[in-house]
This record gives sequence, structure tokens and C-alpha cells, in this order.
Amino acid sequence: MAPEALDLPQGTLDLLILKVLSLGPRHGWAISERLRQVSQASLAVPQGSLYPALHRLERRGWIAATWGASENNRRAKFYELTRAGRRQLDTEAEAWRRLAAAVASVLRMA
Amino acid sequence: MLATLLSEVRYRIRALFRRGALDRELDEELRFHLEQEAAELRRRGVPAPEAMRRARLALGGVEGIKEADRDGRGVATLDHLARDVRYAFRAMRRSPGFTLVTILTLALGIGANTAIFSVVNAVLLRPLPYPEADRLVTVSSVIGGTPNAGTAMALSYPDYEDIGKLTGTVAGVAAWSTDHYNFSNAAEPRELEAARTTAPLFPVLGVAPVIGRTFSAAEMQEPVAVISHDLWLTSFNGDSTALGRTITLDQRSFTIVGVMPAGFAFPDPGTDAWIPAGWAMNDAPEMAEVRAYRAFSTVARLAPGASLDGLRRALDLLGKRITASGEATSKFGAGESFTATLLRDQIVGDARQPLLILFGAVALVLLIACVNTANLLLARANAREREFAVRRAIGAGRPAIVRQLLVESLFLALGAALVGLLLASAGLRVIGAQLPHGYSAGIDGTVLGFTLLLAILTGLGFGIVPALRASDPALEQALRDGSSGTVGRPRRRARSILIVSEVALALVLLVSSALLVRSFVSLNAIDPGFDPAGLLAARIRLTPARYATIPQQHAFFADVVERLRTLPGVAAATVADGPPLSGGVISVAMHPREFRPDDPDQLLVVNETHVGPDFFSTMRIPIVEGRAITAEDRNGSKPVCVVDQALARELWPDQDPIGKTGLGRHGDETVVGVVANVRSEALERIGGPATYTPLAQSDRSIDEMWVMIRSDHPLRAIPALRTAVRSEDPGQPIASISTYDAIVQAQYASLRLITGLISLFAGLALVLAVIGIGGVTAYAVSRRTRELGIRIAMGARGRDLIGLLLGETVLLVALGLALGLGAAFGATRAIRSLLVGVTSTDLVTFAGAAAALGLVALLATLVPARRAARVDPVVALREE
Repeated sequence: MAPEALDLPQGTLDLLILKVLSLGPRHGWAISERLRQVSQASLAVPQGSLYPALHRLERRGWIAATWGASENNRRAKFYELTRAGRRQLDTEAEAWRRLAAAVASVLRMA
Repeated sequence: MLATLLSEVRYRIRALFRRGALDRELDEELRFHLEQEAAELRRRGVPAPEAMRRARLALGGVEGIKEADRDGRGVATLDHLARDVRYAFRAMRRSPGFTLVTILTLALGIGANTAIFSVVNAVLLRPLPYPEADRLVTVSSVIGGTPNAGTAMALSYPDYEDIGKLTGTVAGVAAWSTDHYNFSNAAEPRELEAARTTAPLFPVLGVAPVIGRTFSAAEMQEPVAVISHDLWLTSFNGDSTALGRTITLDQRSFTIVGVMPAGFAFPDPGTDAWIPAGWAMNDAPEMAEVRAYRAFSTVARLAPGASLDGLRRALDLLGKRITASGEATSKFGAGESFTATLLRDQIVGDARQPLLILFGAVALVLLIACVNTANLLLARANAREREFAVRRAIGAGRPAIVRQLLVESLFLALGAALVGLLLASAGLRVIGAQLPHGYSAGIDGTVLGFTLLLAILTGLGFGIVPALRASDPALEQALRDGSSGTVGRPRRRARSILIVSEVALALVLLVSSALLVRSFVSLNAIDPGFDPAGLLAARIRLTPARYATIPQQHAFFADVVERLRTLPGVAAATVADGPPLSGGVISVAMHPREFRPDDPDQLLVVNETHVGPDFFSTMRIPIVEGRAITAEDRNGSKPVCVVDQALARELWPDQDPIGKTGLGRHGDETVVGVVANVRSEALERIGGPATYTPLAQSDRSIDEMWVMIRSDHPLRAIPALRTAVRSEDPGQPIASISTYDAIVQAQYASLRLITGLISLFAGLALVLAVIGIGGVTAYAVSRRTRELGIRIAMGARGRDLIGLLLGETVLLVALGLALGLGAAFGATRAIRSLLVGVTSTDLVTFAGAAAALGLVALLATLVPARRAARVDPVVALREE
């Protein structure tokens, strides 16, 4: 049995969305799919909280949204990373790495 | 950073104004998401309906997503506020009766406050129209040794020069005195008020002429003049060629060198010209040197960095130096000190107290209105218990409900403020006519700001308690218990507070009003000592150049009086130089040594009036003994005088005054008659002891005289009087004409205004209190219908029920009356100075007002109680 998917710690959803979008523009469902794929389903991203998060990021100007046609020719809202968003991604990713390293070293102590 | 900010603002604007579009976009996104998810599941082999179901499950509650999305848009608070406003609108529309009553009640309170504030703003708060007017002071002197010792007096010219030398504290000082002149440029000669001033007046005040210039110190004796804007417009058509032309004052020509801007009117609103100070002294040049001649007022500007206290200290030193020098400061002796006050305070002076009284009164009215409204809202909140409990059940927090109710209250208050502004502007039009010249009270920016602030405070004030009560979690419990009744004890407490507080507040106003009305009635009933009805008085100031000698002056008035006597409709005519209440009463100090040998230094201040023949009969002043002044008392015949009872009692307490000699300026007048006392200076008090001497025997040059005629229709006699004077001398203006009734009424004009206003407010308070008490009682009774029905069914009579219902109220009303009496004892001290004939703690008035209010309050509860007593028990029992 696959291990239970982990709940996202607070605040990291934004980081993940920015990272996914750094690889190219996507619509909301595609983002959710990608997250599921890449984390091999070990991250439980409640799909409902995705959209409020996307709009929040849009509000802050880190991602920009445009309506376009999806792969199967339906109207969908595509998001892409802005320049400010890219800078924010770098900042937050760095912070995350440092946090993770710090926690790891504490855990390693005998 | 800036980019983020920009993006936030743009998004929030979209969220505010395109809410619908954002919601629709989210809808579409979610729909797309579900379709994609279902399609993916179908691709993996899940059958179609199951795929959709699992997709929905995975997404979660759509409503929750939408709500979370909306919350994240950053405009939540504004959104909620907008929604609360919409609800408030709807709530108000749903109960129009309630809304109307509330708005009207509050509008009366807010409107009255706005009107009075507007007057306060115009009179007390508005700064003087001079730059840095807070630095302007006026200096007066206090002389020792005279009968008027202690009162502030005018300064002498040497005093003014000494003040000018205090360069550390004073940046500039000017001296001025005003006088009336006969102005004869225009077709119709008229009287004009001119200020004789030293050159620094204009720089000290900081106002420059709009054309031309002002005069300099070198021109103190020159016939030059600066005229007012009004005079420029009326006599010179606002023409710039007015410069260089002349105005003729008392037959002398003054060349116009400058025109002051519109609105400049110093020291009086009616000052139309400024001429050099030398013209105040040309009849008595020694005034420039002798400290005992006092004629000038001063205005000074504090030096930069100097304070009023610093000036006062410097003036103290100056006064001590003058006193030590022994120089005479008046004809009675030496010694002088100075007082300095801010110009602003001196101008406002008397008005402060009555205005603050009125302000206090309207505040009380507004308080009553607020208590009424708070109770109305409480009652309505009760009716909406269910609505609030349901809202709380679905998750609305207490703050959300409180906020909604406060928004409703603010709405009511703002609506009331709008209506109140209309009421106030109408009221101001009436009050405005009564304000002293030069002040206008209207609705300007400051007043609007005040009204808005008051509305907000009022709305919060009466709204907070009902809002807290309605959102009380205990309500939920009550709802669940199924009780439809009142939440017992708190309701009764609110009702009690209302009755007690409104009775107390209304009583304070009623007592004040009653005291003022009694004063007014007293004043009205005072016998002034003469008969003003039917009397017409005209003040005439002879042009000195045309009537230079005393015989000429006497001849003029004798001829005019003769002409007037022959007019149809005129029963009698006479002349006097200081008739009662004219403000022209001349006080003379005399040493009655001959009559009081044991007290030779004591001074007696006597009012001395020069009168023509028929004075007493025209004025209808009763002659108590002896005879009146007649035409036989001429220049050359025996000098005589008539005294009043007060003087007779003062000088000859146990003797007959007739035949006594020794009075008058030359000590040679014989008393030929005694008349009754007259209220010559003010209605409230009997004037000082008086003597009346024949005008024909006077050897003083005449300044101004009053001509009086008695007629059945005094107003209709005005044109005839003008014609008589004009035919005697066409170039002689009449300074003013008035019926004596108007003169007497002007004496208590301000008391009348205040009494009227406070009585109006007391009436308002009474009406509001009655409505409040009646409403609250009716509501309480309606809640007990069931209980009353049972009692009736069990045999209680109507009377018993009324007794039961009233019983509680009587106690509350009594408590309110007691509190009100206590408060009134303190509050009426504020109007003590206005009262005439009653003290501020007059027990009869207090008791009467309390009894009246108590009766009215009980009646207000009686009416709903009687209706309750006639309840049909069957109907009552059936009611839930």
C-alpha cells in the first residue's frame, strides 16, 4: 500500500505553484495534475485550495492570467510566471532549502 | 515592491467593482477543472457517472472554495460593509413607520444642535478677520478715587504714547475714539460714525486699503480720510476717481486718500470713515498732554515672542511709575493701573454665556432623542431575535451582527442629520434676524462638519446598546427554549432607565424655561416710570458749524418742538438730552457738602437731564410734589430744577425738598418739584438719583438731543416729524427715529430670544419624553397581554390592572423627578445672571414644574394602560 499522502505545511502551496509555472504556462487543472505526478502522489494537495491560492498569487502580481483554448479546445484560464514571480520563486526556494537543511542537521544530532 | 503594490491595487479595484465577473470566472474555472478531472478518470477506465462523482469529491465543496476565494480578494471588509449598507437600506424600507419616527425624532435633536452651533461658530469661534488676530490686544486703564473706581476706562493720549514706548512687548499700538458726524455729501443728510485714529491703526490690524493709502503720523491734523467699502459704493458708486474727492463731516471737508476693503469695519460694524486722531482733540488741544483727559481706546499688536503676560507685567510697571509721579489721572485724583485683554475676548464678551447656555440646552434635547431612539431600536431588536439567532447559527460572528446593526444606526443618524440640516437652516433664518449687526450664522463647511460628526456620534451612541443586546449569545438559548417573551430583566431595566433619565432631563429644561419665562414676565410688568406707549423719539445731533452758539441751538429745538406740537394727531411734544432708556443719560458727580456737612468727601452720582417744557406731561412721569418745568423757566429767570424721589430721599430725608437751593453746576438751582422715580438706565433697576433742569437755562453747548412726541399712532407720525425737521433746516439730518415701545423692548431683546429658544427646547424635550414614555409603556403592556387577559378572566377589574401597571411607573417617574430637581438646582446657576425677579432656586417654580411634568408623564403611561385594561380576555389568552 502506498504510504499516506502528506499534508502540505502551510505556505508551501504558493512555492510549489510558482515552481510548476516556472516550467511554462498552465491552466489550473494541469497544475494540479503536474503536482500529483511529480510528487508521485505523496503530496496531498486539496484541489479546492488550489484556486484561491492561484488568485492570491495573481493578486500579488507573481503570476499573470489569460484566457485561452485548452488542448481539447475548451476555454480555460492559463497562468504564467511573471518576472517578479520568478524572483519570488528564487527567494522562497532558497528559504525553503535553508530551512530544510537546518531541520535536517538538528535531526541528525545524536 | 512597487510592482506588487500596483498589482494589488489593480486587483482589489477589480474585486470591488467587477465582483460578478470574478465570480463567473471562478465558476468557469471550476467547471473546466471538473470536466478535465472526469475526463482523466474516464481515460483510466472509470465509467462516466462515477468519474464525475469522484471528480466532484476530489475537488471538494464548491461553495467553500468560492467563499475562500472571495475572502482572499483583499476586499472582504469593504464587501461586508457594502452588504451591511444594502441590508440597512432594506431594513429601513421594510418598516417605514419606525424609520420615519426615528428620523424625525433625531432630526429635531440634531437640527437644534446644528443651529445653535452655527451661531456659536459665527459669534464665538470664528477668528477675527485680521492676520494673526490672536496677537491683538486692547488696553484699558483702571483709575482709583472716582465713583467708578475699579471699572475699566478709556486711556488718555499720554497713556497711549507711553504704551507705544514698550517696544519689547508691543510691536505697534494705535489709539482711537469714535464719534458721530453729520454727513452731507449725499442728497439726504445722514449721521455717520467715524473713528478718529492714530496712523498705526491699519498696520497694527494688518489690513491694507484696497485703493489709495492710509494717512501717516505727519498728517494727524490734516483733513484727510479713509472711507469704508460700503460708503465708497453708496456715495461714490465704487468709482476709483473717489480718491481726491471729499466727504463733508459737520460742514468740514475731508479729502479721501484711501478706501478699505469690503468687510473691514473697525471698531464697530457701522464705522464708515477713519480720520486722523487730531480731530478728536482740536476742541481741546490740551488732551494731547494732560493725562486726566480720557477719550481713547487702544488696540496693540504683541511683539514677536512677547506674551500677554509679559505685556501685563510691563503695564504694571508703567502704572506704578505713573501713580508714583503723582500726576492727576482724572479730575478726582491720581493713580492708574492698566489691564490688557485679547481683542477677541473683548469683542465676544457678553455673548459667551448665553450661547453656552443654549448649547447645553440643545445637548439635553438631543440626549432625550437618543434615549428614545435607543429604546425603539431595542424594541425592534427584540422583534428580530429570530433573524439574529439564525444568522449566528449559520456562523455569523458577533462582530458581524454588531457591525450590521451599527451601520443601520448610522444610516438612521445620517438620514436624520439631512433632515436636521433643513430644519436648522430654516431656524437660522429666524434666529439670524436677532443676531447683532455684522454676524451672520449659516450652514458653512465647519457647521456641516460638526453635523456629520454629531450624526456619527449619535448613531454610535444610541446604536451600541441595542447592537450588543441583539447579538447577545444568550438570545440563541432563548430561541431554542421556545420562549417568545422578552428577555425579562434587561428589558425592564432599559425601560426604567429611559423613564427616569428622560423625566430628569426634561425637568431640567422645564425648570430653566419656567424661570426664564417668569423673568420675562417680571420685566414686562415693570413700570418704567413713564408711559412708552404712543411715544416717538428722534435723536438729533446738530452740526456744530451751523449751530455754533447756544442761543442758536436752543432756538432750533424750540422751533422744531413748536412745529411738532401743531401737527395733527400729536398730543404733546418735548425735547430732552438724555431721556429714559435712551443711552444718553448723563451722570454727574457732585459733592453734596452743603447737605452732608458730616460727610464732605463723599461723592454722589446724579443723572442730570436738561428738558424742555412739557417734558413730564409728554412722558407721563407723575409729579409728586410741586410743579414741572415750564416755558416760564427761561434764560434769565430764577434757576430751577426738579428732582426725583430718590434724590429727595438721599439729600433731605425728613424734609420738604421744595424750595431747597444749592443744586446744579453753579450751586444756585432751587427745587420746584419732585417727580416719581424713573428707570432711566435699564429696566431691571431704578436709575440713580436724578435732577431735571430747564434746557433754556443751560449754558452748555448741546451735543445731541432727543425730540419726543406723543401721538395715537406714533409710526404714522414719522414722516411728519421728518418733514418738520427738514422744513426747519434741510441740511440737518435726524440721527435715528424709534418708537419708545421699541426702545423699551430692545432692553430685554436678548432675554426674549433666550427665553423663547429655551422654552422651545423645553417643549421639544417634553414632547419627546411623552412619546418615549408612552411608547415604552405601550410596548411593555403589549408584552403582558396574556398575563392581563388571565387576570381579567380571574376577576380583576380594569382599575386594579391600571393600578398595577401604573404602580411601577409612578416610582420611576418620582425617581426621575427627584434626580431632575437635583440636577436643576445645579444647572440653573448657569442662567442666574439672566433672571429678573426670581432666584435660580425658586422653590415655587421648581415644585410647579415638577408637578406639571409628573402629571404629564403619568398621563403618558395612563393612556396605554387604560387600553390594556380593556383587553378582551378571550383574545388575550388565545394569543401566543
